[in-house]
Amino acid sequence: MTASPPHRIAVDDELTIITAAEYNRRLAAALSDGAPVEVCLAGVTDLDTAGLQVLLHARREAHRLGRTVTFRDLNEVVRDTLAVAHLDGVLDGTAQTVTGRSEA
Amino acid sequence: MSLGEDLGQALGTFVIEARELLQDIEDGLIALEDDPAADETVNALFRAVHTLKGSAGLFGLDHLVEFTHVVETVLGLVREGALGVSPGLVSAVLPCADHIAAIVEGVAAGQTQASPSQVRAGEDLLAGLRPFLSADTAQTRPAGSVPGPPAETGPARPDVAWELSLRFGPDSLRNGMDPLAFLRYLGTMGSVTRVTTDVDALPEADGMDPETCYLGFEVHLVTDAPKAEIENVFEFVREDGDIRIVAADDQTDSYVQRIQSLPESERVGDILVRSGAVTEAEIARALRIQQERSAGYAEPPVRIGEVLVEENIVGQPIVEAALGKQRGTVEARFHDTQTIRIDASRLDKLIDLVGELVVAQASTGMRPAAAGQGGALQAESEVMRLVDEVRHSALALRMVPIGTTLRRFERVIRDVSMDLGKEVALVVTGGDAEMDKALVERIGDPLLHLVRNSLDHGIEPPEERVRRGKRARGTLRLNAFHDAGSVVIEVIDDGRGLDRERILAKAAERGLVAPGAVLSDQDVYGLIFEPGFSTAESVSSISGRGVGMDVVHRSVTELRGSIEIDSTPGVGTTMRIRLPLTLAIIDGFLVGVGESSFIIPLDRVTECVELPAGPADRDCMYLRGEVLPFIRLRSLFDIPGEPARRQSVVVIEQSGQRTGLVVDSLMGEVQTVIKPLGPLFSSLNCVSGSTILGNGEVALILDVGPLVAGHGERERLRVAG
Repeated sequence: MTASPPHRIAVDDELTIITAAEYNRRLAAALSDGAPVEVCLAGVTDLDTAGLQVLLHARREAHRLGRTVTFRDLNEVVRDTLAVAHLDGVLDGTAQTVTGRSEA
Repeated sequence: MSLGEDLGQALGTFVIEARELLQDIEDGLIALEDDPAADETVNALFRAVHTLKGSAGLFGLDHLVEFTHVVETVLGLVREGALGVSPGLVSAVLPCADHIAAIVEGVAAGQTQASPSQVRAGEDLLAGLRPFLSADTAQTRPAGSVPGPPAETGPARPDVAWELSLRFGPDSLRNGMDPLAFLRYLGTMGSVTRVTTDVDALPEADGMDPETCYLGFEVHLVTDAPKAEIENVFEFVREDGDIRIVAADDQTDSYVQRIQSLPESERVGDILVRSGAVTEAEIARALRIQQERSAGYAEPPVRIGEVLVEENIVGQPIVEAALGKQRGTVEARFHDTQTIRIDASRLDKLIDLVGELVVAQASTGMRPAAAGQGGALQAESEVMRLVDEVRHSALALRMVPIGTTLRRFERVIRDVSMDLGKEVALVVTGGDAEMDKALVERIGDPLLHLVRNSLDHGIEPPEERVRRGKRARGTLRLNAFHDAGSVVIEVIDDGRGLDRERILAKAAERGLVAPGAVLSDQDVYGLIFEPGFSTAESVSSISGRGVGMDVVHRSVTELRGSIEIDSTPGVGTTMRIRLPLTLAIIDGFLVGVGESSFIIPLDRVTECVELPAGPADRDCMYLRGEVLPFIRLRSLFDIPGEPARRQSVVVIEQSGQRTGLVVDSLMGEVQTVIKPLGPLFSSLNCVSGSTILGNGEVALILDVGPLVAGHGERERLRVAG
């Protein structure tokens, strides 16, 4: 598989420390061949810091490698969690920057 | 998700703290019943419940949080003055505290979800709280929503802005600590006006381990909670991560003002803590850093203020203001007065070792040759003094005040007297008398029986009391004090007193005494400790089944203690438990019979006399005009060999009765470490333990009570047979 048809990854269960490794692997694999990646978050049942990290990591990796990754269909669970970290809009493109002072 | 080991440990700490909080809650509720207007009590109560809920939330114990939240809401209403304290309220909330305790114990047993029966019990209890909640419907919030602001004593605190810099430990996710959960919880303490997520630590490409925590958060929080409370939120992650809480820049002025209004103090740290800008824990951390830096250098240590500023704990202007308040130029001195928790088994080990030391030291005293030269003699007496001091301080480590145990009866008395329709006030005196922790734990149940017994049988119903010209409200006094190497706990009631005639009649009916026997008051009262003895005409749920008092007697005897009863009809009864200060070491009197050695507890020995000449089967003698029965240890223990030519009699006193023990030789006083006998010998009832003597031989420790009591029995059998 090369260019155009985007990879679609749908998260249909929890995106937590239990599944983080699995989705991280799938996202990294999808990003590796250059095709755009679409992540559907409509079916996320639970999202914790580990899960959030995986999403943020994929977003940054895409940026670094010059690929595109889009997150769509953010459901209540996802939006609610993002709101807690004040990250609303970061995943679905209406983005604001994610930065912070780095600490040793 | 199974609980990781680290989390398990943190949970353990949570359970310990939750138990302490629950005790505070119970004490607070009962205090509230006595003095419904005590604002301080209400505040303390609210704080305890709030803290409990907060910690439970951190561990995701949702069932505990939900239940506790409702209790907190009720107490919040009381705190705001929207709800008055009534006995009904206390009665409704107390069982809730019990329920929370049950959940906490469930958590301790590894149960992180509510069991169906707990859910049902919880619902019933919450239904009982509902009438109080509807007092102000605007205040009733569903579980899980934003709770009331955390309490602080005195007038409401103004909102303060804080900058929180949160870097969680790399393993925090694996340990079940979810940083997002902390952010959510912060939202319940006040308003989180800004969060910046720091992703800098996320590694590139494959370097990421999805189970390691990389995210950091900068949080701007506006809350009226004091700094220590915010800090407590992170109690379980502070160790591994880097959690900093600093007053937002625009707050500096208000802190400087507050510091200027404080009195002078010798220590900058005190001033900073009092102003609220720095917490105790932060000071402790800064002190550690200060010590590390100054270690090994002769130059003066870094100032604590500099450390605080460098570590970004507090701003420079605040430290300068505090320094201005420091009294004179006194060098800052800090004392570490914190307590530490120690595993009880380590203490036991230490005490065991000290015990061995005592024995070894006693053995040097047994060799008079060593005491020959003056120098050696002096050195030895010095060692003796030191060992004695070490022994005392080692034992003191195990000593805890008995007050906590005694005060726990508030609740029992409240519940029991309510059940019985009696009014009883508890007065605790001497709660600061200290005794061995193991003893405190084991005396709880026997005391409980005595207290219940006094409530049930001793104190009369209000009408009867009024008829007898007493105050309707009875008094139960728990008193503890030290007395000559033992600790005495008294349960004193002002009830009807023991009915001598009824006890005698009952005992005769049960065949415990011969009809018409003449007994002293003490002996009659002692009968109530006989198995199966109960004079209560009606069996109540509290007592009256005839179990209890004999169990009390047995438990106390097992602890090498004794019980006495004083009673005056119509005036009241005093039950007096006398216990040794510690279980580990006793002062003993060493005697020899043939090849064997025995130790008699020294506090039972009254005197030693020579055995007068006479026939070998004689078992009594005259001592100052009175008959003294004696027991020949040689025949009791079937020790072979000829008796010594001059035998001695050790006179011992037990329950006011004197008995002699005939032995071959008297070897004097020794301090002995008691080694319990193995289970194989558990049926022996004249020997309470063994010990190793300085010369390596084993000596049995005689249990005087059963020895004397059993002798009468044996004699009767012998005469009858």
